Formats: sequence, C-alpha cells, structure tokens
Amino acid sequence: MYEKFAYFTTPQFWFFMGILFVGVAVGLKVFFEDKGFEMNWWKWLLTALLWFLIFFSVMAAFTFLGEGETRGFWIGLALFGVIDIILGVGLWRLLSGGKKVPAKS
Amino acid sequence: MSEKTDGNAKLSRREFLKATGVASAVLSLAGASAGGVGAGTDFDTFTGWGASFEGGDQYFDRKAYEVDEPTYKKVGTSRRADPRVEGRGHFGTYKKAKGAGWTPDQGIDALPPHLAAFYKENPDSQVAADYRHDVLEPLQKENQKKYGLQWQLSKTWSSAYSAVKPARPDSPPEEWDYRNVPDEALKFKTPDHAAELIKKVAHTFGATLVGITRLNPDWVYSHDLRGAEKGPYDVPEHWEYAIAVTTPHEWGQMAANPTYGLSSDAYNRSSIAGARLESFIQRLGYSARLHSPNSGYDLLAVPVCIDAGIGEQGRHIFSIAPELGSNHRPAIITTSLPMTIDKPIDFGVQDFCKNCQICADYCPGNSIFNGDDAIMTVRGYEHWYLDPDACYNFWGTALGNGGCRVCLAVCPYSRKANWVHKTAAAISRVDPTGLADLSLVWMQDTFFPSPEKEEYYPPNHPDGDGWNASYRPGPEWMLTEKWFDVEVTW
Repeated sequence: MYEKFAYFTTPQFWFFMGILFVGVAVGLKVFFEDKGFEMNWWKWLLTALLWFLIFFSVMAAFTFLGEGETRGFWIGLALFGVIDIILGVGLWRLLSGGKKVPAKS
Repeated sequence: MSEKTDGNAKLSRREFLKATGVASAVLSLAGASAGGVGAGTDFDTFTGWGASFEGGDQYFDRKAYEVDEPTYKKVGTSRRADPRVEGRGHFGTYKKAKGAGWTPDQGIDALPPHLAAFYKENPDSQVAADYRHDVLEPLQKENQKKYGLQWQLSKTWSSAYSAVKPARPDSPPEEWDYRNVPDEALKFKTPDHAAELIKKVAHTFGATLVGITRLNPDWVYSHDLRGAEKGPYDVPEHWEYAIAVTTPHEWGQMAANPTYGLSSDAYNRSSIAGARLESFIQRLGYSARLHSPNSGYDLLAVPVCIDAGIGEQGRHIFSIAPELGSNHRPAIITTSLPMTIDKPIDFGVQDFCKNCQICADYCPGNSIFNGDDAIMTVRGYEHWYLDPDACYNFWGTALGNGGCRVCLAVCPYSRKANWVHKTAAAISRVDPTGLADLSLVWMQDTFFPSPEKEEYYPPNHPDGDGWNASYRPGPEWMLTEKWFDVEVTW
C-alpha cells in the first residue's frame, strides 16, 4: 500500500501543498474583503491557525487510516471535525463582528 | 459575480481569485488525506527500519532528558538474581526434575536444593509450574494441532531466524572473553573516542540504538556462569563496562501479538549485532563477552539498558525507548574497554505509566498489575514488576509462535514514529500537568482499542473462552492462506 502513497511523503508534495496554501490565502483575502471584514494581524493569525488545524485534523485521521486503524480514522474524523466546526463558527462570528456584514457590491 | 461581455459569461478577477481559493482548499484537503495515508503507511516510520544505518531522523536527542540517577530506586540490601529459579527459571528446573522421575510423593525436599528452597518460600510458584506442566502444555499442544496452521508461515519465518546465531560461551570468561584478543591492544586516544567509535560501528553492525554504562554488578546473575562450573560465582573483574545494543521487532507482527507475534527476529538481530561488536572489541585488544537472546545471558538486560540511557522501565517491566517505545530487544556486551558512559534518561515514562494502565488492563495472563501494586521492591531495588509465573503461563496458553507480547503491542509508546505519534509523545514530555497524558491514554484506548483479555485465549480454554485474537490482524505477507494452498478453517 505504501508504494501507492509514497509520493505523498516527499518534499515535492509539500512544495505543491505550499503553493496551494498560498492559493487558499489569496482566496480568503478576496473573500474577506468582499464580505467587508476588517482584518488585522491577529485575525489573520487565528484564521491561519484554524486552517492548519483543519488541514492537520484531516491528515491525522487519514494517517490513522494508513496505519490500518479504521476505528481511529472515524473517531478522529468525527472528533476533530466537531472541534474544527465549533472553532470555525466562533472565528466566523469574531471576524464578522457578531453581526451580518453587508457584502461589498 | 460575473460580467457579461459579448454574451459570454466571464469571471471577474476577484471571482477568479476566490474560485482559486476554493479549489486550493479542496486540493489541499485532498492532499492532507493522501499525505496522511502516506504517513500512516510509510515504512520509514517503522522506527529502526530507516533508509540508512544511522537513520538520523529516527533518533531522539536525549541530552535534555539525561539524569544522574536512573528512575528505579535502590531501597535496601541488594542481591543478584538466581536464574535457576527466579523469573521463569524454576519452570525449567522443575520440568527437568519431573522428567528425571521426581514425583510429588517424594516430597519437596527431594527436589534440587535451590528449587526446594525457592518453592518453600514461594509455594504459589510451584502451583503455577504444576498447572503449566500438567494442564496448559498438553492443552497448548492439542490446540496447536487444531488451530496452528493459521500461523504456520509466521512460525516458519520465526524459526528461520535461528538459522544463524552466535555461539554460547563454552569456556570461562578469562578465556572466552579474550579469545580473539591480539598480544597488543590498540590504544584509543581518549574514552570519548572509544565511545564514539563503538557506537558508530555498532550501527553499521545492525544495532538501532546503542548505549554505554558502567556495569552494576547487582545485575549479574548469581549462579551458573556460561562456560564455567555450575554454581555461584564472583562477577569477573574485567566486566567493567556494558554496551547495550537493541533492535525492534518487525512492527507488523509485533502489533499482531500474541499469535503472529514472535521474539526471534529482534532477538536474532540484536544477537548478531552484539556478536559482531564482541568480535570487534576483542580484535582491538580488549575483553568482550556477549549476553544475548541467542547465546544466553549472565545478567539482566533491562536494567543495563536503563543505566545506559536506552530507555526507562515501564509498567510492563520492559525498557521503553523514545524511538522504539516498548518494541525492542537488547543484547549486552560486557567489556574492559574504557569508554565515556551515557547517562540514564527520564523522559516521563514513570508518570505516564502511572496514568496509563493499558498493558495491565489487557494483559491476558493478568500478570501486570494496576495502580501502585505494580511498583515493588525486588532484590533491593524499587521498580515496576509483574507476576512472572502468570506471564509465563500465558506463554503456555497462547497459540501461534508461542509466548506473548501483547503488553508491547498495546503500549502507547509502541506506535509508529510518524508525525501524529511523535507530536503526541512530544506533548506528553513537556506537559507538567499530566492532562496531556490522560488525554493520550484515553485516545489510545478509544482510537486503537484492544480485544478484551479473554479474547486472546483459544476457544474453550479453562482460563478464558476466546477466539485466538491478536491485537491487530497479522500483516498481509504473513498470512499463510495468502500464499499457500491450505484449507481455511479459521
């Protein structure tokens, strides 16, 4: 099984992941601007932390799957998923100032 | 938002960037999934099986965890262990006596004096030995006939490891330990040079971890020195230093304990690495004697590993190394070569094992104790200890390769050395509150549960009606039915 996924442990894979992370950051920047969110450094930091938390939650669950721990995979996905959703809702409320912000026309 | 130009829908620049963000996020999460599976299946995270002898990524920087005193305590007058009766020694001596015609009618005093004395002091041990010889062993043979084909491949693989093994000493230490020593020794520049070179070559000989300590004579057995007359002996003066070399079991079969599990692979790798090191040291001009699973021991290996900074003792009494967890087997070389010694380490195993009782919870033989009952004073030292009779009797019960290493398999420290478990171990080491340990123990038990202890037994066994469970299924390459034309009845 490892042979099929060996590429995904290489530095080249992480190079492409880095490019995708830049794409995510650019997309979020435009999205937040269009939503009228006033972002500052610590809001960006929290956003980045949440993104990495989601990313590594998914990766952790799939690592368990790779180890052959199917139960660990499902429980991990559910547990980390709930935590990520709760934190995501909290961050959204924080960024939107707790009220709906009219979209930028 | 789209703009219409000449009747064609076109994305604005902003919409394009947002779409790029969404696509990147989706691809990133797909990458996280694939990367996760890659990390989970990566052979290199089976620590000790790295791409190189040195395997820099495998090793743990012990400097910050070095301590002056090991984590066990000396609490009274110490004495050396008698291998003829202590641990599982009495089982063999008793079997021999029974085989030579001793019967209970003759009375305990007709047994060899050391065994009679031991059984007078430990009557439960005689009960355990009788139970093993009279009930468990015949039943195990019968069950092996009934169910054993399932593990034939792993048994064959296990046996093949003993095809090449170092010799057992057949002369006293003053001869055997010097048998390749030239007239003139090569003098090392400093003890630092000696330690550095010994570690370097030990890795090239196949050792995954190497540690050096001064030999504590309390760890040397009291009787029956290999190659010498039977009976008590003094610790040879030239056994000044001890080098511990250790290697892991193949990880897939280790997790498939007890049935697919076996000791012979790591035993043999460590024995061979140790034998090469013994020869190397002798040829440099210094005495050396290998104590290994294949050539026999004259000492207790686990405390030497702890003194040499390989690891700490865990609740299951084995050494837990930061890189290998519980999954390793040592060989020891005693020598007169002066070397700079390593310090013992304390990376939090004592506290972790107090919180974690998973090995005790799932020990099928009920030999590992829960709570503080597992800390005992044995021969003048306070440390984790277990009931060796109960442990050995489950060895006489489990099918497959014989023996049992469920405690190694369920130990949270024995998980693969990938980013998830390395991060968990790092958090455990730095958290002073113990909360991380409690969370990790809960996760280990919830995410990676073990079968109940009874399930490890064969069906209809008097001590438990199980189904020959293993902690994890046997590795695919070790499944007899995958390769051979056999009727699957299991």
